[in-house]
Amino acid sequence: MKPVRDASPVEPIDGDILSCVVQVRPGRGLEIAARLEALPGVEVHGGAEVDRLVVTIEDQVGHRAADQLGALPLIEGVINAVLIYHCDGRALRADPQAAEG
Amino acid sequence: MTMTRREFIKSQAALAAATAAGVALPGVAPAQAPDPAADLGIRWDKAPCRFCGTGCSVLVGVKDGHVVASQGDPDAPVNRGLNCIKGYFLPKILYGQDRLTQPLLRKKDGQFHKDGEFEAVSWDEAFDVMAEQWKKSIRRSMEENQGKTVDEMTSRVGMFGSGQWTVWEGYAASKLLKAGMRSNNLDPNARHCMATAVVGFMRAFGIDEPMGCYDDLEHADVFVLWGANMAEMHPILWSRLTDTRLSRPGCEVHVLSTFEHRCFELADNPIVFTPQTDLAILNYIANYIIETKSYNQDFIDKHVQFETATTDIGYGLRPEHPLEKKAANAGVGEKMPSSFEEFAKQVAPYTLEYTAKLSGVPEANLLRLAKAYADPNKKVSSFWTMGFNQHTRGVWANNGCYNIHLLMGKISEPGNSPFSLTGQPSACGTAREVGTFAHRLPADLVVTKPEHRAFAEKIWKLPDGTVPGKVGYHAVLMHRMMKDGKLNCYWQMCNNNMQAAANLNEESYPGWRNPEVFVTVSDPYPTVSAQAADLVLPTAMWVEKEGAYGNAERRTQFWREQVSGPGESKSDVWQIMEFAKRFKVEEVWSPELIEKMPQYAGKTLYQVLYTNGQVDSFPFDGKVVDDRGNEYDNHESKDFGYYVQKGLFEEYRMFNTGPAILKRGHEMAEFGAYHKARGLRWPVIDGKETLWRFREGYDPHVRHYNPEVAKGDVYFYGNPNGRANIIFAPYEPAAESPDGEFDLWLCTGRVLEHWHSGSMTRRVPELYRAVPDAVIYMSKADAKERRLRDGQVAVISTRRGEIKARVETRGRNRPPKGLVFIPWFDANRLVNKLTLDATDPLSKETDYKKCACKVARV
Repeated sequence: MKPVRDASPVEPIDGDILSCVVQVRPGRGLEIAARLEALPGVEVHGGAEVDRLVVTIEDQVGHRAADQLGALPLIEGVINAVLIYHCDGRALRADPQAAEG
Repeated sequence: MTMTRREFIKSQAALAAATAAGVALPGVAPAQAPDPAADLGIRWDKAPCRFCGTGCSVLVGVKDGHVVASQGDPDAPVNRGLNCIKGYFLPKILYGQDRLTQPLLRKKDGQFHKDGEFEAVSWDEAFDVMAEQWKKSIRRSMEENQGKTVDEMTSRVGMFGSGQWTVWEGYAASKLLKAGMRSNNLDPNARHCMATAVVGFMRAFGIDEPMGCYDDLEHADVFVLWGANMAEMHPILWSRLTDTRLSRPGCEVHVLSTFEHRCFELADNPIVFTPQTDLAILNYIANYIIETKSYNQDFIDKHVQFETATTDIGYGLRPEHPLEKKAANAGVGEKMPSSFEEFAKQVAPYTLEYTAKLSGVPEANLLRLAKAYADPNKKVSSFWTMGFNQHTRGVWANNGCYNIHLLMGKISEPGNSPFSLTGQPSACGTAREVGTFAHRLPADLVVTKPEHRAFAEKIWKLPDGTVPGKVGYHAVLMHRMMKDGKLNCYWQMCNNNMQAAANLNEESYPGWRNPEVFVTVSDPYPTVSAQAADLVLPTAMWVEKEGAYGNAERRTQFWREQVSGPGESKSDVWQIMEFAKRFKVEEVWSPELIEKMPQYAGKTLYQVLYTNGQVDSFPFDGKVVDDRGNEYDNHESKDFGYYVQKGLFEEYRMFNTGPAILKRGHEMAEFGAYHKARGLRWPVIDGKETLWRFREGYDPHVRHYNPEVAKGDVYFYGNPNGRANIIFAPYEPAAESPDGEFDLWLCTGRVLEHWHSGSMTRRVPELYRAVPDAVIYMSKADAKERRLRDGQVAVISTRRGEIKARVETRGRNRPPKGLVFIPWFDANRLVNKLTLDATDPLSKETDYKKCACKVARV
């Protein structure tokens, strides 16, 4: 019985997709939307005018969606980033067996 | 093909987010929440989140027997489609590389041996060895109990359960231990978490759990956080609070803590106070309200009575500890009658000047806080979690907050709400409501009252005098008794107490490894606890079983078994009931008790407790089918041959619902209603949930208890006279404070990415990578004094032990000079080697927030 706690240093990219709502300081929606758009895998779909950004994030090599999500609250002007939807990329593959394991 | 699917999923994911945010997307019609994976053959069903006490509902997507997707549930009133980062990883907690799939027993030469190595064994062998150990200990207890009354009985077996147990797991365990084994040595890990809140409620209101609900988050003008880092620990509630703060004119947020954390980014009134002085701040606010005559005289006259607490009550340490010997009234919880005038005199010394000096908080901040509470036109919601509860005077702190709300009459109505948040998904629903504490029975009944025991025995169809009347060992006492050889069999389920319990070096580890003690741990993963056990049982977790949780706002939520557990893993309720088959009543009950119901002679505890014509009264036809025709497994019902969860829940309901119950106020709906609803907040009367308790118009019980009640008025029916108690208690110092040698305060707690001891979240690679190790958060000034640089490894020590960790001076937590903070999720750095097992003498909950430490270069 050996606990496995450490993540493998080289993890395969699964192709996960997630969406989240990013709440920003009043009046800073447009500015912060532009900053988010510059991040790998991040796309802002709307909400800048009401300071609630509708964002999707996709896994990219070297930039996992989950890590990007975790980093959003650290951006100055961001109050909160809440996850809405997550799909494991393995479920998107044509071969249903790819979703195993 | 893949690209098409990806694009489809992405657009639907964006639409789901837009729907939750209330934002229209260009070219997309606002719609109902979408079904983002409709074309992928994914089966979606609701389940409450596995983590904190908020009780968010998530939609779980299953394909080919695996959970492959999750989504914030747009139909859930708690989270309205939102989810936090831990919610993102819910599916992944099931699939850690080191899931336990077989029972493991320490063996040497083919036999159980305390010092042996773990070997895989069958369930039969595991339970045979475990039952042999338990029977040996029970025989000793039966000998020791000869000639004793039911109020004097003790037991050498015990169980340590969980606020993460499902409702029926807690209920089945309570029945097995308290009735079957005749042992009140059953306590949940909620003892470390919510016990203080329970005692606070009982002392003030005579009935447990908050009067308000999360709807208060949209109604309050003022939010006050007393020792609650909601931004990290309750992020969805924080999101709702943030929405209100940014959209409601004049809304303000006051944040109190012993160090700065993420909530301070939104604080209009940031307050960092010296540890333990929250007691003085609470009394100062009461004093301000009285001195400025801001109190609600009418409310006080009609709905409140005054009491004063016994003081100098010790610190819940071992009786021989010098602090206990020194205390005049160690462990005494008695309250004395008092009056408004007397209360006013008692709080009068807590002036602005005195309190500012004691607490280290500038006068202007204290004054602003007091004015917010004292303003009759502002609705105030106070939230607290472990800052109040893990506190050697935590019950006093809880009551101090109620005092303020009651003086102002700001309670039991939308936006006016003293609210105790919870840390575990079913600390309320299971640990508290089902009665898994050492002193409790279901529905707020207690073992010390003969009429409560008799009621339980009647429902359970057991002989009079089956349930012992003496309070069992609480969580902290269990480890002391194991070390002392008085508790010899210990079964831990659904938690990680070897990592969680304070003072690991002096109490927990010596207790668990005592040769006279046999420890069983049921867990999905090889936690620190599992590695310290003698027998490890593999557990089916979360949606690998049908379950029910009760969250902090009294909301009971159900879910179905979505996927199978790996290997031979089985749910806790299966383990409890299967283990009961190993015991004949003659092996656990005295002949005198069996004589009272001779029909039970020769039967097993399983037969007596679970196939009693109630629990086994609902048939199971091999599958569970939802309203949409989707089919689900139910491994326990398949094995036992009846609908186990429904039977246990409906029997449990006999304690809280119906004309003959002893305590009204916890009523629940029938089983099927919860599978249809996104949870219901008790009391549920005629199918309707209750949002605010104790107020006419919201709570139907008010008119039942007080037919003369005015429209919209309150009646605190938990107390016989319908009045809530304002209880004075003074400031008293912490059990251990910094001194010349150990010159810093040590505070422990959590971080967003890891939930409690990290046994689930540390197995998710992304979360592990985000926060791999616990660090010592400290001020730059303290680091400089000790010649420590950011990121440098330091040794932190207390009178009980030491660990090494890196120093962090620029992180999310910013302690003031004189205090360090360490999260306790890290199994590689067991912070509870450092912490002191001082407890609140009233609630027996440990103070993990205050002890003295020193930090030095390695």
